[in-house]
Amino acid sequence: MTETEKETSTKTITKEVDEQSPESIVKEIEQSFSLISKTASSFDNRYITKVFRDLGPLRRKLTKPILVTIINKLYPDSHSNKQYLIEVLDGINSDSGETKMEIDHENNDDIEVDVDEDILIPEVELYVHLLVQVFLLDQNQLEKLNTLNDNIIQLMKLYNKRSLDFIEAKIWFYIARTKELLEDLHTIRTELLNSLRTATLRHDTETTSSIITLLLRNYLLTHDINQASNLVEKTIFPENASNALAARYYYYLARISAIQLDYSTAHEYVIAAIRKAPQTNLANGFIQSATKLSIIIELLTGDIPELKTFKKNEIGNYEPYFYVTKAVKLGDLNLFSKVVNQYEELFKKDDNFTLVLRLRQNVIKTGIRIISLSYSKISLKDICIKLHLDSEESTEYIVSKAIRDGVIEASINHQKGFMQSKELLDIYSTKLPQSEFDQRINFCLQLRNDSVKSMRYPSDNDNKSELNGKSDSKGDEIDLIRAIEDGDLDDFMD
Amino acid sequence: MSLQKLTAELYQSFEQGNYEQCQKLLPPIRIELIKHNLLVPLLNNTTTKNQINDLKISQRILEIGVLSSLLTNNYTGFENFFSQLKPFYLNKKLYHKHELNTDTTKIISLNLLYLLSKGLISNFHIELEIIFNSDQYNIEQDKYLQFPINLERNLMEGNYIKIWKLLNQKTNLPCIEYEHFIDTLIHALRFEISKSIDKTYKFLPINNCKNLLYFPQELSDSEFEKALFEEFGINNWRLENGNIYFDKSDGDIDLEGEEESQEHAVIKNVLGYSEQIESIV
Repeated sequence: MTETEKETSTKTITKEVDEQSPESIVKEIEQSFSLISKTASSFDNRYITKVFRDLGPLRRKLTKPILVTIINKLYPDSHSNKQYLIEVLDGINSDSGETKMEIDHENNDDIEVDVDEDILIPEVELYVHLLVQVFLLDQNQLEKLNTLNDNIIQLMKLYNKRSLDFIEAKIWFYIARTKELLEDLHTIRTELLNSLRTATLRHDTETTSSIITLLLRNYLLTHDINQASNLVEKTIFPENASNALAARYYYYLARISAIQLDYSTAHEYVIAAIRKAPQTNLANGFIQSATKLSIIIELLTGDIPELKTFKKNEIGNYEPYFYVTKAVKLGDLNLFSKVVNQYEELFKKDDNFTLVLRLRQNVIKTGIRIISLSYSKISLKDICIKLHLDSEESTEYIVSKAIRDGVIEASINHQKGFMQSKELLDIYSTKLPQSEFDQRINFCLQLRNDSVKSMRYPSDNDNKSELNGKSDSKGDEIDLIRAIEDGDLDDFMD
Repeated sequence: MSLQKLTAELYQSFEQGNYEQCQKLLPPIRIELIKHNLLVPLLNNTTTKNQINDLKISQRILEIGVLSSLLTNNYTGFENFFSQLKPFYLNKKLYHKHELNTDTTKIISLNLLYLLSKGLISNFHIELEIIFNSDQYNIEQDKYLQFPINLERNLMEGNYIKIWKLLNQKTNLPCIEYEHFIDTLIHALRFEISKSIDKTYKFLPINNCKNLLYFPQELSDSEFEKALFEEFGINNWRLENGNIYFDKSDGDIDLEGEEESQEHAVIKNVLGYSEQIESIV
């Protein structure tokens, strides 16, 4: 789906990236090691956020020799983990055979490594694993990645440190992604559930939220809605999870509720998902799927989406959705069946086909609504002809159902065979304006409260480091703020 | 008794239509299946060809379980057996060919009908989602699957006349097991219609109402009234002078209370706003 699209785009970029010298990349990675160890010592997870921000560009530059160099430097020869890491990298025909020579040569040069003593802290170790994972994924070495993943899972079980949360969350993402690409969705569930339990017990918000979304995705890919909704019921999604994860979570929730016919809840969720999604072009794929879903849900609730929804994003194929909306808006059954037939494949690709099929009844209902608005009295026969229904009798039942569902305010005179619309009341004498006003005010207040909550205040740790007068802390701070301004977008780089 | 013997006996009684006997045979067979690790298809028992063949047999046993439970009106049994069958149907190793008009689709569609007759629409759609997204079924050409899907579609549209026609002609039914749901479905259908009628008309001649609800004309008015009150829990319809009047008066009584609660709501809202503003300022 969206991820796959992005996957291919990253691959094309890989080739375009200009040849940066391997040494500088190795240096870059080592720099991130030092940032990571800083996290480990200061418990400030923002350093990791910065590392992950750089992961996107770095990912395109990774080659096998670079990784081998890093691993060689990092692990003493006797270390057990080194063996399998090198093993999985072995036998990959990296296209940069020439650079390998240089690297080997450079290896002897021994760049001074100042992080030597604390080099094998778990954070760094897992980060290296993550790099190898990403590399294998980009090289499409899924089988190897799969065997590596088993090792990583075992490795992660050994550690219990809060500073690992971010890395672990990311690693789980790639593990699940591998399984998905291998179309082996069932086997990973046990591990995911186990680690979800561990993460929840440790109050590890990052991993918890990441795994919940992964599980939901896994269930939805097998269309196992029952399981998915059970999971949602039994777990609590951490409130302060990163926006990108929350957006995904809401998207899945919207999907689940839509399938369970709970359209109003689904609508709320899908709107939340779109609002929470990062506003960069990296998240385009996500926003597109979410928008498509929201169009369908809006139609199912009986509303017509605004025209600008379709024009908002230049990229993306909204055409089928546009025509479906048109058919519903006109209440034209023939047009509707034509559109559904024509775009069946596209709807199936987006996983929205079943939802679109349900729209048929809405087409009829809007048709009836339009008629009831334009005529104060009309014979059932005329309705039948206008809406292309089968017979007068079925028209009577359909109209009567529409009245019951509250689509129109009308009554039927059975003997004379006509439908009479009720005169529109003065809307300001009802409580509708009041409740509408209340809704909007509540939304504004909620928005304000949320923004107050999400403001960042300096923590105690920061004060301490400033008191110590460390020279690098200021520069770091600026970098970090930049990283935060860019948001947690890196999640969508995947 | 050994598993083979029991299975043979089960097949035999099923073919003879002795469904009671099937029901009696099934529990010991199930225990045997568990002993042989054949009740659930797992990763470790779907590797060799022999194992898959064995599992096919246990699938057949469970299918007999579903059908015989249904035919003996044992609905909890039906639900149980169906949920045990599900892993079989979802297992890609057991199913690589196209399923069209087979027992599999028949049983799935029976389950769909069961959910419909119970009014569990959202579960119905959850099942449908799985079927639509699996490429082993060809929904448009499968006579079994088409039936419940059409039924639901017409029900949601309010096209009750089509449903009535579908249900009322036994020749329309793809197989005999469907007859089991006809009565409940007709009852559900009448219930839906009565709810619509209640909202739609001010008054209606009794005879027309019988027609709309698909009750026979010969039914006497008093019997009709009794059926309405008892089966559908209707209590605000008045039968007078050959007409039925639909009382909408409950609405008026409520209005006063509603107005009061509306005032309360306004006060509550405004107080809420002022509280919030205070916290902001």
